[in-house]
Amino acid sequence: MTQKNTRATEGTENTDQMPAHRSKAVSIDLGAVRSKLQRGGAQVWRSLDEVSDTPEFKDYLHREFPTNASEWLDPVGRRSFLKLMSASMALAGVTACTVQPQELIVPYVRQPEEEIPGKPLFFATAITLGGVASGLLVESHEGRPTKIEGNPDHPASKGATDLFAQGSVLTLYDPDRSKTILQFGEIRPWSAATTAIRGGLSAQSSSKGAGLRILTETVASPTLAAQIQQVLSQHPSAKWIQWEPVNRDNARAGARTAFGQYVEPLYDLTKADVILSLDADFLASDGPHNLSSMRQFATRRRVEDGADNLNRLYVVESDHTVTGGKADHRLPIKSSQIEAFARAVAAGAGVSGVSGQAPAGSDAFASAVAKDLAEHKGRAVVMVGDSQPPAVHALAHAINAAIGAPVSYVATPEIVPTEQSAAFTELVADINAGQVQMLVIVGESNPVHTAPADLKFAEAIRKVNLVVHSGLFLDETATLSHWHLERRAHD
Amino acid sequence: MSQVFPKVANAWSKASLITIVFLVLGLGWIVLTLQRSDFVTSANQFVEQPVQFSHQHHAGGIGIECRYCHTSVEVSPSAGIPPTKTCINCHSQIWNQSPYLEPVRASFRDDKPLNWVRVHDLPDFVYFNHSIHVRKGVGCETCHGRVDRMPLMIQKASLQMEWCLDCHRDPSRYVRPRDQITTMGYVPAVAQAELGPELVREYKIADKEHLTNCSVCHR
Repeated sequence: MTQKNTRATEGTENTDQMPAHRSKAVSIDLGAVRSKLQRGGAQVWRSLDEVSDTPEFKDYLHREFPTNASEWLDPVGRRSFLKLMSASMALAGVTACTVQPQELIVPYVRQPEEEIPGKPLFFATAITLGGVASGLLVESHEGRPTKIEGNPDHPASKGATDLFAQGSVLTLYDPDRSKTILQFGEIRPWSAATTAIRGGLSAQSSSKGAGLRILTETVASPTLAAQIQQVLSQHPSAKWIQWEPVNRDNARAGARTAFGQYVEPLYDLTKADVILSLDADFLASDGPHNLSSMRQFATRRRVEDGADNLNRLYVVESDHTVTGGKADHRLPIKSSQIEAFARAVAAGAGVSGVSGQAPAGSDAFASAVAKDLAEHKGRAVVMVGDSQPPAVHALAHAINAAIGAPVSYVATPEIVPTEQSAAFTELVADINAGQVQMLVIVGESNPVHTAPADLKFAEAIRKVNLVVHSGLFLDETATLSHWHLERRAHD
Repeated sequence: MSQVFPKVANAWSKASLITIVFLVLGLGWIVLTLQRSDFVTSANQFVEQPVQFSHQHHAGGIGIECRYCHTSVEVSPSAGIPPTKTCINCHSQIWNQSPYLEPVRASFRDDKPLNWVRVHDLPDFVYFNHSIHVRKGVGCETCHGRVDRMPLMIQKASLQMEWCLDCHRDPSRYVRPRDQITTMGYVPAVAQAELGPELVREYKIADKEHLTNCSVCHR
């Protein structure tokens, strides 16, 4: 019936005709297609062609690779194809019948100290991610870095690295790395840049820097923080904003709710018999301590000499993660339901003043986890992912306190901890209010590209008189800045 | 019907059969000889260098030790080609006006490296390490020949695989005491047939099975 309809419309001008994906356009009887689809029942189809089931489409499916498939069935075409290919292959082989090309040896003019040709040199350095530095060893062959591994002397990583550190070797060869100082895209010398920056700063001296803003990534470097604070001491009304698109605001706000100040929890997983992870992928990507977490977790997963001290891992998460894959008991629930789940566990584990009902279907899991945590006082720990809201972090701190978890609270790795999103929103408001005359942006956070679109940072940045950007790449932020200063990484 | 072939054709056919055998053998001989020839191996051929540097003068005449320039020969796969700075160590004082040395001075002045032409060019699919050979008592001269008599560096050995295997199959014929590594014109104090096996034991040189394993060189 469909075929009949198709034939009936063939050759007629049909305004409903779909643009076909092959050279010969085939008309589709949309009326027939509609009636077919209205028949109901389970139907799976990928295109209108398929559902209309034209003979042309059947032919198309049969040939699969329409442009070349016929070549193999045509004896003349196949023969000439094989002839040409075999000739090409034979000629490619002839290239081996030559004398080795002359090679040059290019020694150093002045050989660097400790450099031995043919032997790699290893340089100790560090990479920061989210403001937390991890120690690295970079293998270098005659000045060319080839491989990045962890520094075995680093107390946290003990020679391990994560995927970001492994991949960072490519940054060193990135052709998009900026190479020079630019003013509105024109190359300028350092002297011109420093003159412009000094001019901007001296204009601020009368107002004690009220129009000066410094926007950086999360700063964990004592040196950089001291330098910025030196600028701030000379310009007391200026403001320093730390901002990264993926930040730890929730964890910081949760800690402030629980303790009244910003602290960083350090879990000792070697002492934990029971671990509850609330959306925390601590074995792969979550948090700055994932390398030490992995190592500590693994020490309690080795069955050697009949050891009977294996830990038990509960993972409650909304995604498939490496940590979830390692879980003894995994509960997939919505990210938004985790707070309710945490309340139920907190109530069950003996946190006073908290009550709650676990999300539907997870009652048994929540009560089992709460019971297990309560039974392992001093040997159980609750961890929360950075994506969870502050309330969940605060609840976890409360549970950990109630069960005496092996966790110590230390100063945050960032020198001056802040809640970054609020600070950044305030910056944009200040710019829009015309209070900012000079903006210094340091780092790779690239706010023009990564800031929340609602803030319209790309429009705001144009209102500032002097924008100085220092970064590795000539990115969107660099393009909208008046000055771009190239920055070096690793080297 | 008369005969198609005359009687003499028998002799011709016999002779041509023998000739074909000799032709095939001769062709094989030519191929084998040619592929071992200096034409193919580039042995004993002079290569033009950016500087007319004479090993005969520096190593033979003045008696500079090999390792003064080739510093990494004991610790690295590469023996090391000296940086321009090494030349300038002496030539800032002596022959510092010589026109022959202008490329060296220019290199040092402009911080542009000299482009030496590689003489000993092993194929890229073979791994070679200087340090292990020196450590096990293979002298410079054993592979590189009388460098102290070479005005321009030439490749003395064929560097073909059979040449490598010749020593790897029985190193006792070539090894020398470690303190004689850089000696040119070395003559063993006692007969090599006695000294060799002793050194092989002392330096713990691996046995033939290990040394001729493919993956020792083809890694």
